[in-house]
Amino acid sequence: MSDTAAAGESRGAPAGHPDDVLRVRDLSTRFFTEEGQVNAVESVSFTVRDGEIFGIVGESGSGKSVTALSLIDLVDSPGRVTGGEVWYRDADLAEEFRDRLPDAVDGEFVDTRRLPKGVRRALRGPAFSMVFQDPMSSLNPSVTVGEQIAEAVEVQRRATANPRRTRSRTQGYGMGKLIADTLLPNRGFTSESSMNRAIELLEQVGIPDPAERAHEYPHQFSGGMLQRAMIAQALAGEPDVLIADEPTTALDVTIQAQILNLLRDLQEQAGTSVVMITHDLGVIARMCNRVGVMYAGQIVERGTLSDVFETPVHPYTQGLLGSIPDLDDPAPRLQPIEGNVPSLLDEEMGGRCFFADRCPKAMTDCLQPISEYDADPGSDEHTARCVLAEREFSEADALPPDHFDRNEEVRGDE
Amino acid sequence: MKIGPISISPRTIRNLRKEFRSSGLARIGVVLVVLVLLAAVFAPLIAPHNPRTQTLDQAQLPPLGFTDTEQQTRSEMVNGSIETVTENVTVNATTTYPLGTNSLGQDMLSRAIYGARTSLLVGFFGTVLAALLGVTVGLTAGYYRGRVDDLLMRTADVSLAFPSLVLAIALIGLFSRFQADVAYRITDPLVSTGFAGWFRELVGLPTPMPETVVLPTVVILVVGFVNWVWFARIARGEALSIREEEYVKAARALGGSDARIVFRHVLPNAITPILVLATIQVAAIILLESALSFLGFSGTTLSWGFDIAQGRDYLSSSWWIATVPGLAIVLSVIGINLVGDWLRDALDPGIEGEGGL
Amino acid sequence: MSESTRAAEESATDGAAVARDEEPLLKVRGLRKYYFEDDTLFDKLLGRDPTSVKAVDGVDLDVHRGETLGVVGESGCGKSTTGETLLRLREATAGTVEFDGEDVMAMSREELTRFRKRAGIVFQDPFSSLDPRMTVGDIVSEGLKIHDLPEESPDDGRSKREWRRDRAKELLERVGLSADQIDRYPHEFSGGQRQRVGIARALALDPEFVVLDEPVSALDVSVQAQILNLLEDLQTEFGLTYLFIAHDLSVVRHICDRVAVMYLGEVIETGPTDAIFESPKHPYTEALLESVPRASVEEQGRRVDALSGDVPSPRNPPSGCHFRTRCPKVIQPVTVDIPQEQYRGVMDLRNRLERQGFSAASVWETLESEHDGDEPFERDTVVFKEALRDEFDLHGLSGATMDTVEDALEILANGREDEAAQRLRDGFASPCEEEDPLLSDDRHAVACHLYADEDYDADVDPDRVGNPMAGMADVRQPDADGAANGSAGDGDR
Repeated sequence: MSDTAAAGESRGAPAGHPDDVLRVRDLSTRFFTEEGQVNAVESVSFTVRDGEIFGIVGESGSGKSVTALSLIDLVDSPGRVTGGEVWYRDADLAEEFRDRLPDAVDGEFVDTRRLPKGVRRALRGPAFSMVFQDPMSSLNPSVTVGEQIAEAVEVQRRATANPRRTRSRTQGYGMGKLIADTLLPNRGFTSESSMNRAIELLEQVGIPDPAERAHEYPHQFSGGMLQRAMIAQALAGEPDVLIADEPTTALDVTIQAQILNLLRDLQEQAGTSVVMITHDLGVIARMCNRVGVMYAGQIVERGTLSDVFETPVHPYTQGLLGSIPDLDDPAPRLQPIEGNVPSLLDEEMGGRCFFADRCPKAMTDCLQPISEYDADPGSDEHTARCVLAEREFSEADALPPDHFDRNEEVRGDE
Repeated sequence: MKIGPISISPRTIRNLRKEFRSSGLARIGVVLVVLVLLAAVFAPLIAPHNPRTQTLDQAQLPPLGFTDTEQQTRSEMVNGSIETVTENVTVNATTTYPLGTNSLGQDMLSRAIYGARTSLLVGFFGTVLAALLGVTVGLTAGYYRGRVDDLLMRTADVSLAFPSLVLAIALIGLFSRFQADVAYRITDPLVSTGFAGWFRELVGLPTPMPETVVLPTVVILVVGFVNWVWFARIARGEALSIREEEYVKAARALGGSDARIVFRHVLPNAITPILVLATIQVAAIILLESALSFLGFSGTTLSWGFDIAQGRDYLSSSWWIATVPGLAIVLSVIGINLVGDWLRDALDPGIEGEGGL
Repeated sequence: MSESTRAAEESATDGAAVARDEEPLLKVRGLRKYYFEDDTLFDKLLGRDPTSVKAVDGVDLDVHRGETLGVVGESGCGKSTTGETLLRLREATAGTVEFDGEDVMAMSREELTRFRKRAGIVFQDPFSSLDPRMTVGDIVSEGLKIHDLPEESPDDGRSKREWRRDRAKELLERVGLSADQIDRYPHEFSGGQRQRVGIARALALDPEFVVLDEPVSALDVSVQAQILNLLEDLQTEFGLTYLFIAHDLSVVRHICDRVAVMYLGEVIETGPTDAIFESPKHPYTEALLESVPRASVEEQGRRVDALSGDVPSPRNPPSGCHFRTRCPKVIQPVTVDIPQEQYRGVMDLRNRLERQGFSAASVWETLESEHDGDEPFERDTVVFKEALRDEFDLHGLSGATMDTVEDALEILANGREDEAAQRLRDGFASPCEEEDPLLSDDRHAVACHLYADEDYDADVDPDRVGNPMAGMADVRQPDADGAANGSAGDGDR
């Protein structure tokens, strides 16, 4: 698979809605493992608007979490963001870099991928922050919850005090402090005012007795409370975009409802944009204005909630919707998608529609790379990576059912 | 591949090979271990001399490449009277004794080769005994938990509280009360079949070799009893976590007996850390055996530790007598530990069983 | 707690009163499973009393032949423990389980072995439920080997071993895998395929009854649908009876004929699936159904009145109805008549004081942290009370109730938490906290005081309130007093 982002024609930020705060184009992330190159994220494009909740839905291995990590530049070795642009709207930042990096600026938008590393890092917190799925392993078990949030507050304060153009956030943390911290590991890293801010944040996310609970350790918190604390920590920098990666997957439904309400409040009251990543179509339906459906590293279909849920074009989206039992109207039989999620290994993928091997409507057209087409039904924003957006299915072009079996080593499910 | 309850998946073999290729230390370790093993097994074929043959006129010859000055006293007729004359004589090494000889004129190289037999025999059988004991106790304690666990593991803790050498000597004292023989002699198959003689004739090494191999049974029992604790602790830890796995519950739900579950499910899944420990324990036991024979408890004189003890008195004049067996110990222990590290890295259960990315 | 045991006896004798077509295949009565913490030799030496964790606390279930009974609840409600205990994979603390008329708990070794052939289980985690060192063929045929099947060598000249291997192949094909995968190891399969292997293993012995312990919750939706369809097909084909344990309500709605909803170790509502989902009775079931996000456009922006707080610890479950600490419909005593939200607020405040170690000091600290400005922070009880009124929704009370609440707040502001709790307890104790509600005795049964005929006007005896162990004598429980007495005021954190 070639680097789609390398194509020279992409100059400036992609066109989009005036309210966009984030425009992502052709973002690709690869993992270079011993088994081979894994294309975890493959030319993903989407936009996020001010104060909306954008949903990314997909099954495990679809690359949705890696997409989140790629957005905030947190992909670890052996993975690497290999291409694409993440345009973020920030007038001040744009002004700052307009002359130094003209390529990276377009109007109020800045392509964070082209900014220096230090600046990119400084954006974590005030611009983007993230809530992870497993709160238990995301917090340090040997430091009190309040202390950890206060630390985030402190880091943000220092970042705001030191303009990001010249200094990185770790400035001011000299040798002396390092030695002191090493000798006295529990020497509070935090001041009283940031602790007070931490307590305020804990209260904001609905933790009862915030002052007392701030002094407790993560293991003394229940799962729901921990997730709230994680959100409080993510809010420390008052981010423009909050990325929530499966924020409720580890929680029970009643607690999930509490956390979803909390996220909704944040979005409505503070105007935070949220990128909600989940496998749960119900959560997407409740929370999101616009949705992208991911499969095998690509966004295969995106549009408004009703575009995707009511008039899906891509057979994968249709299959996903047919797979979930309906709580209010139990269908006699589910309509699952046959087969398994592909491995994403570069050599096994080939230049075809990645869903073709499971697709009930695979045609000969599907054996070449598919680009994003505008889909007719629904709103203007409705797009799908599927030839069915362009043409009707015809039996004449259909692939024989055993087309993919012949060169497969392991037979898939059923 | 399947060996008893242990099945080695192709994946494991792949990991072993990969780790072997990428790690230079692993290769050094394997070479060392193979050398020691070959020396031990084929000692009667390759040892240049009978390790017990004393050639007093050839005593304390230095290893090749070294010379030694020795004060020689002789009586001489000087002017009619007999006088004792002391003079310094330079002793040259000979190729007949490439690593020199000890104070009795025994060939150090042959003794080092035969010493590998004792060390490996004790190391291997001692480890097997320790593992059998320790794994049985550990799996029982970990699988049944509760009172059984308390009882068995507190016993283990108590025996850990003793320094192992002290415990070993105490046990030897205890064993010798019941058993007259500290060691058994078994006939050396290579010698008794005449193969060794024929082979040596062929390559021109005519000295007849010792007819028997000494098996220091008491030492084996003792090191087994001293070292079982480590196996018990590892096995218990593994059993404690494996018993909570759903496949153990599944086997119970099918009606499997405890014995079946322990043997078919718990043990095979616990075997990797046990194997790694066993490798490292062989080295530890070799050291313990050397210490015991250094102190004179081993029941055989063909032992590296015994030779070091012998050489102690000559350290200032004939340093090689203690150094040659010392080096043999160091190299074999390093070799075994490197192999242990290799196994640990390659068999790390964290890597195994994971489906790639 | 003795009440539900009595209920078990009653419903066992009155069983005939309820129209049942036949004797259930599985009948669970008063099942309890307690774990004891601090119960080592060392703790005994130090004279520590063991703490009991009531994972399952008096569960009654009937599973009829050929049906699927769903057991739903949130994590920690004891549903999986119930499933494993009734198969005697864990020893029960109390209660009876009758399988086809035989008492499972009293079975001898041989009887148990026979029982194991008739009742199987499929586990949740497709990764830990298959032994990584065995081939799927060995895994599937393990049950056959344990029971030394076939009993006699097959006529066609195959050895028993070959027969078992062929049977394993058949089973693999039946669950949608291919027979030539028989020599592969589990790690070569995807999650959904592993779950199929787990199902094949459970089917190998031709069981009549299978406990499905969250069989699809670790799977992706598309694979989950495949497995659900497979389970349905197998049920029809082999006439299986399922006990389907799950936390996902839509899955339960899809696959189950009847449902039992569990909360903190107890069944709080049970009945036909449609009845439970369309007209839930218990406030907890209602809240649970309300909370589930539906995958449809209508769901967009729906705001759920989420239950407040967390599930209480099973170490120290609330007295009376276990759900009362979160119940939006908790019953007011006759002496009180205030809007339900305010009553819930009072109860929340009480609950925090009694069970969660709520202290005035922490409120002051919070107030201080919010305080900015140059003057030093001063403790102002008016601000204190206002903060609590805001937090617990206590505005707009009047008359005697207001006086009691104001009194309590005043006492609390002075740092006397126990006294404040006592004052609130005296004024507001709910009938829900006095007695554990019994599961009613009809097809759609519910354990909730709202549906009981009894008249709760009888005065509430404050001494009985808050002692969850009242009347515990009939259950084996070493040193119950010691463990119980500390519980009323202690936090459960």
